[in-house]
This record gives sequence, C-alpha cells and structure tokens, in this order.
Amino acid sequence: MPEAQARINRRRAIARIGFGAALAGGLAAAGVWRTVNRHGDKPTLLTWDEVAMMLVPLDLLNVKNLGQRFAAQEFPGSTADAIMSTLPDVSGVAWSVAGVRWKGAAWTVPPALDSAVREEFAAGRTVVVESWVLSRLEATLCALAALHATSAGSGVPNLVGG
Amino acid sequence: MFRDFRSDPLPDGYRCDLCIIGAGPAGLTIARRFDETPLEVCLVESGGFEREPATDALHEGENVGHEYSISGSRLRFFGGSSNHWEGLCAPLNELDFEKRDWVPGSGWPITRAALDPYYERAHEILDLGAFQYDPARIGPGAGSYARFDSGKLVTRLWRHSAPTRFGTKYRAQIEASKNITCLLHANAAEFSTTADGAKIRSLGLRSLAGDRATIKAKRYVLACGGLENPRILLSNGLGNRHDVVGRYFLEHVHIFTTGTVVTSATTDSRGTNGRWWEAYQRFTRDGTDFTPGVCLSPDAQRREKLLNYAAMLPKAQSPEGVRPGHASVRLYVVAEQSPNLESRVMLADSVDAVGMKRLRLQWKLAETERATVEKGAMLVAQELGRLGLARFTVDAVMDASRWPSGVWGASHHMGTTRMSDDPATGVVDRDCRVHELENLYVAGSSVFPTGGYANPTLTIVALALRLAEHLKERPE
Repeated sequence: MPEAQARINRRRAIARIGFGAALAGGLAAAGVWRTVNRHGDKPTLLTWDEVAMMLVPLDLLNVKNLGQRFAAQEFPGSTADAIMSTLPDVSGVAWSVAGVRWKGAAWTVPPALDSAVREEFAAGRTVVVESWVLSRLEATLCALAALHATSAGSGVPNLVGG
Repeated sequence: MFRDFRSDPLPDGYRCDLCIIGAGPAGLTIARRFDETPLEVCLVESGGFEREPATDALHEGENVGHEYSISGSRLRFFGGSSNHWEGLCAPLNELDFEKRDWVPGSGWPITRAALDPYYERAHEILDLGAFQYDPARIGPGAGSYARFDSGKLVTRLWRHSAPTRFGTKYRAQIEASKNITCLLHANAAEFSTTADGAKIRSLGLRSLAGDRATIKAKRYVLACGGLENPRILLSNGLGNRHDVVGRYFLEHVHIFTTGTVVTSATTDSRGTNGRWWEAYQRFTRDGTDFTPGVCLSPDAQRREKLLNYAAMLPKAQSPEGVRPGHASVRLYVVAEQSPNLESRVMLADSVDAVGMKRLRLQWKLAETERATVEKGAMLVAQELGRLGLARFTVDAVMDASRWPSGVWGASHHMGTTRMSDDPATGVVDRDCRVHELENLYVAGSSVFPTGGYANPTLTIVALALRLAEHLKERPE
C-alpha cells in the first residue's frame, strides 16, 4: 500500500474511533443527564407530596392528614408562604412554591435534606402528630403537602384556621 | 426421698437441720446444694406432682389495685412456676444494683459483680449455655444490629432456657437423696418463736385433709414466691417491726407501643438496610435460643432520670395506611417499676382452706413508670429516625390520663421482702436473713429491692445458690 494511502486509512480509522467514542460518550451523558434531570438544564423538582412520602412511609392520604394536623397545631391560619418561611436552609436544596428543587435524581430524597431530618431526630427536634414521631422539618413538609392538596382541590379539608 | 404428708405423716416434732418451704426454682436449688451432705433437709411443698384445683385455691386472693391476675400464672406443686414458665432469661444490669438518686428506694446491698459467679452457675441449672450476653459476640452478626448512639440506646440479649422444668429435671435427684426429704401436700401455716422472739422454734404444717404436724429445724428458708413469702410472714407477725413486709410490691411494666414502620426492601435508595429489624427476631446459636432487644443505656437512664427499659421488636401486620413494601414491627416494652410503699401485699379478712388469711394485693404504678415508657419510646423513635431506619408511633403512652390502662404484669412478683442493710428499709439483710430473726431466711424474687427489666428466674436461682453457699459456710 502506498504510504499516502496508508496515512489516509489510518486517519479515517482514528476519525471513526473518535467519532464512535464521542457518540457513545455523548449518548451516555445525555442518558445520564436525562435520567438525573428530567427538566433538562433546570434543577429537579420534587413536589411536596413526593418529598414528604420519601420521608414518611405512609400512603399519600395519611401523609396529607398528618400534614394537615401538624399545620393546624403549629401554624393555625398560616399561608403556605408563611409555613415555607419556617423551613431551615438546607445546602443544595431550594424551597419553591411547587416543592423542593435540587440538582439530583427525581427518585430520591436530596441527601442534604435527609441529613437535616436525621440531625433533627438526633437532636430531639421532633414532634408527635397523630401519635407519629416526626422530625419538625419533615412534619412541615407534610404540612406543605397537605396545603398543596388543598390548593389543588384534592378533597382534603382546608387546613387554614384548623 | 418423697413423703406425702396426707398418707405418711411426720412424727410430731420432727427435727432437721434445714427446713425449706417451697419446692420451686429457689427452694429446689437450695435443697439440691445440700444433697449428699451430713445435714438433714426437709423440703416442704404445698402440692404434689401435678396441678390440683383445691391446692391452687389456696393462693387465691383479693385485688384492690391495678388490674392483676393474682393466681393466673402461679403453680403450687413440685417445681413451682417453673412448670410452665417460658424460659426467658437475662441478668440484671450493673446499674440495677446501684443506688440511683432519681429512684427512691433503689440500691441493692450487693453488686452485680458479687452475683456474677452465681449467675454463671445458674446458667448450668437453667440449661442456658455460657454466661455470655455480649451482642457483639453472639448473634446474626454485630453489624446487623442498629448502630444506636450508645449514650441513648444499647442492644442487649435474652437467652431462652429449654425451658427447664425443675419438677421434672430434678425429681429423680430428690427421690434418690438420702438426706433430703420432700414433704408433699404440706402447707406452712404457723411459726412459733423462742421466748425472746429472736429465733424460729418450730413450724406448724397443715394439709387440706386436716393433718397437722410440727417441724423443728435449726434454720428455715422461706421460698414460696413474691406473694406467699410476705403472706406467711404477715400471717405470723414475723420480720415486720418496721412495717416493710409486703410493701414495695414490684412487677415488670409490660405494654405494647404501636408500630415501628420499616422499609422491607433489602436496601433503600439511601443504602439503608430496610430489614434491620430481622436481626432483632429470635435466633439460635450453639443450641441456645436468643432474643435481642433495644434497651435504655445507663447514660440515658442517668441523664434523663429514668428507670430501666427494654423493648423487643416482634413483627406485626402492616397497619392500615402504610405504603406497600413496608412492614410494621411492634414495640413490646418491659420497663422497671420504681419501689413504691403503697404498692403492696396485705392480708385480707377471709381465710383459705387451711385457715390462713388470704392475701390482698394492691399493685400501684406511678408517673415515673409512665415517663420511662414514654421517654423510652421517644428515644427509640428518635434513634430509628436518626439512623433512617423507621418512623414510629407512640400513642399508647402519650396520654397520661389513661395511664396505666393497657399495662399488665407478667407474674414477676418482686420486692415484698426486700433486701437492705437497714432493717428500717428492708426485711432481709444482704445474706437474705430476716433482720429480726437469727434463723429465718428468704429466697426468691421477693428479696429484690428493684427489678430492672430482666425476667427474674435467673437472678432467683443465682441468689438461691448464693444463699445455699452462705448456709453451708456458716453452719448454725
């Protein structure tokens, strides 16, 4: 084979390998990114329902009932904004009207939030709601889930003034 | 050898070196220690070899306190309550023996270390295997237990005896013994004392058929259980100069606290072992069954000023409202009771078939016990939450107005002839001798000043071995 032809073939082979690798890498990255971030380049949103249920192992109706009770005993007459304003700062987590935003997977509770809840248990910052012992933070998240349900007209009674 | 008091009566004024009243775990343990010795031992038993309704009726009584079954689980025949016990055993903890300033009336005159050699030997008698309770050495693997903050909670173990039936296991030895006479169907009724009141002179026996006889022993051991021991002393006006006999009746406070809810997956998305509670189920090692439990650490008891507390975690049905894929574990709580002057055994006005006054029981529980159960449950809930293992309900104990509704005892009758160096606060001294009498001793859980959470039989047998040694080392 002439030397020039060999050089061209080698260049093509390298280009093909490079393209294949880049393609594979790109596909993989895209897949991972899609999996991790269902909102494209925006942080993942966990609704109040979702995050409350990740922490408290009850069904949705019971999670909301707990939230409603807690809101009634701790925040009578308060709005969602007012309740949300009591949430502590948690690293990497942003509280929003719709729920919890963070740059991570949609199927798991943000580790920093999980740690914050565990720290509350360790420090004894717990509340008893309908006989359940919950961390104050997770009880507040349940309250926001309950308020969200009220706003969405799910049939759960209005907590305001309860 | 055995003799039946009804058909083979003793000669009146029968003499022996040691008279032991009651052939249950304590009485039999002491008697056996004197087998093949030159001492003549008479073991007096109210029943025969099987349960008999007329004999059972002798321990019926009146209950004027918290709901309690006085005769429900007591057995009045050779082998005593070991004829139906479940076999759960654990030693008392070191702190149980200490004087705790937040538990009035606490403090044994002996230490746990002093009892350890006897615990070890009691293990042989109760078929419990080695005297080893360290969960790091025994179990499905130390890593399987929840990694509690040791300043709050600790994992401890109970061992299960076969369960040893004393009446079955040791009957042949008593039968073959040349120096132990077990007198069946004989009820200890009346003690007579010397003129100065310092010694027991004789014991009057009665049978249900009306037979009577008198035993004259050099020394006597009362081993009839935590209800009958004070009843016999009160009936005879013995050892009660300071009005302590029958007082401080203790039980173990039992209550179910509703469900721990746990993930049932092997691990959850946070890498938490969702089946952690399986390590707390009963398991077998080297031929012995064990049950682990979650207990308040000594530091937590001191810091929070609580009584001792333990919880077992039997699996329960999933409660309503729990998401699929989750399981529920109930918290089966056994808490210590604080010594309480008003929790007591008294004498009723009515008499039984042999003419002895029946007992009247007033079991009283205090706020201290409720606070311990509540705080214990909260600490369990908080620790399981900290570890990400479970969420928890505590409704059964939060309502003080309902206390002690839902609490039951386990026929662990303790404290009614309590041990103390001070005659004003105890019926027996550290050697289990009645303070006011030179030759009367008491064996069994009635001498416990406090009872921790541990089932009492192991400690009863250990103390019986210790008393037997004392009696052997210090002959009259």
